[in-house]
Amino acid sequence: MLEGVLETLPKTAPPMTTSVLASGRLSSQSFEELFLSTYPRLVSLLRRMLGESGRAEEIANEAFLKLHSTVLPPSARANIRGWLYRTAMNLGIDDLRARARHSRVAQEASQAVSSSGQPETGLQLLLRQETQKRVRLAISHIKPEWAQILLLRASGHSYKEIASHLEVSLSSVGTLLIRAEAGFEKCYLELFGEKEVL
Amino acid sequence: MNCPTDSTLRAYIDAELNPLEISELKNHIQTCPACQARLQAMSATALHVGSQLASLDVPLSASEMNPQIALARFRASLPAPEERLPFFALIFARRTRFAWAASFAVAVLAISLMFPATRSFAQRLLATLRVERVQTVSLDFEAMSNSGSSRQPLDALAKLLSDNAVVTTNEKVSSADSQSAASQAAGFPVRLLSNRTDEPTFEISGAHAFHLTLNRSRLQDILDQAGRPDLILPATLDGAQVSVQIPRAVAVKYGACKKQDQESTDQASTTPANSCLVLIQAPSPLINVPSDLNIQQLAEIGLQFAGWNAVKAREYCQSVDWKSTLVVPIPHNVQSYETVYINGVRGTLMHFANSNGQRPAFALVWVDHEIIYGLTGKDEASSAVQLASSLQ
Repeated sequence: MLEGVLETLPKTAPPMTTSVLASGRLSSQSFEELFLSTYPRLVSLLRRMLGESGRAEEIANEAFLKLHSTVLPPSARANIRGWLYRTAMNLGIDDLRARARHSRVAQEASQAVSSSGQPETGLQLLLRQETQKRVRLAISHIKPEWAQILLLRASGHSYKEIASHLEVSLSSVGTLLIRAEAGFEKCYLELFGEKEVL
Repeated sequence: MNCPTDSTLRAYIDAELNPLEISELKNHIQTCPACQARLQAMSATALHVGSQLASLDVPLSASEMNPQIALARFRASLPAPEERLPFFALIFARRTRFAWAASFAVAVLAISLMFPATRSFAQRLLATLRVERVQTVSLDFEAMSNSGSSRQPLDALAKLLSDNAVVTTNEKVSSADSQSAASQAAGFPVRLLSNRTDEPTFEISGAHAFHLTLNRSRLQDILDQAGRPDLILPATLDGAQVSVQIPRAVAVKYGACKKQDQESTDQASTTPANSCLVLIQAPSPLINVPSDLNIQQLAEIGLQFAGWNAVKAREYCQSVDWKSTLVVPIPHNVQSYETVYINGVRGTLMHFANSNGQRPAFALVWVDHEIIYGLTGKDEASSAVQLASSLQ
């Protein structure tokens, strides 16, 4: 029973020694190392969050640009990767929320409840797209810390990485995941009144 | 084994426990119906939510698969060299503050000329400007500030700054009694001149930060009054925001030096007291400006505003890496200046004139690892580089 839900252990990011200059900024070499080692997984996470590769890359670049141009507070210097992930995810959540407010995402998602049963060509694809819209809308509605941990886990980050990125204790990751999942399901039901069957 | 916590059960589902923990947990669950039920419910939720989130996948892009490409793109998207503001600022005491404010105001004015009507993604971002090297420019703001006709628009610009600026940080000057205390107070490692055996004193200039929203009509009035009605500011300038952060700096003083509040703006005080040697260490100030601007053109306008002709201004601006250069205006009482190297880093050594019976003085400015250093003293200038090179 259990084996079916066990997941393969995700690869962990290699440890990185960062060099922060006296002025509180990352050295060029450290910045480059961090970029190369972090970018793929960060964009993957953002792509999952936003649904568009181009937008995910823009948000990732924006986060890296902040890192490049910001004097890091002393508290962030020991865990720059975590700072970067949190910054990028917050930018992504902001973007998702802005889209939900200003675009037709919410309207489209709610309309999809009544129209998803129509038999038509490419139905599977349509259903998947509607599911994605709904999931992203739910993510934009739940607490940012819940969205962060769910997306990190869904993107294959280990508990150790999640604890590091979100600066929480390793032993609390499981509990936080449970809360986030419960929050997500509750929000999803409130928004759409049904549980998605996948 | 007692019943596991929810956190442990959730970690078990995600295969985040070690083999020993897994073995113990399996044995317990086999004999505990309550935990079996908990695990089943938890697994169902995890599986359902995980499946929903897994549905969010979209195809990979080329740069995502190859971070080197992404890094190259990122570098290309960084603000161009022209997107750094010149810092027409000397870092020595109050007599240069007017020049700094005036220069900044000139820069802000010129920013207005470059705003396009629409902004792309990249243009939404701010360019953060920071100092990495120094270069000189013969620009006598001090004389301008003392001459009637030239002073008027500069005064107006300074007033515009002070009227519109919202000061968010304004720390006072403080002192420290040791190198470590000064380092702690300043937030960066303070360095000393190992060539000097006497005990220095430490004065810490407080951090300052402000932001301001530009007012187009007032700026246009100032331009008109300055005899430059040909520079028409665009409507998009109105409301543009600029922010400035000036970190704490440290003045390490050797010998008999006056305190900062004892300095005056007269000729005699533009050089330190006879036995005083001052080493200033200041992290680069940061200026955030809209990134969609042409700094070279900005600088040209600034220089023309300061009295240069257009050709000379253009030639000079083309010779400067505006991306990260501290442009030091050469004061009117500088007899000569030269490029020197301090432990391989390029700096500018200025020789002050021997006037009013005083000994000649020097000022040496250089930037190392984004810390701006300034060394001023009354001695043979030839000793300046030697002193600076002994920095530890």
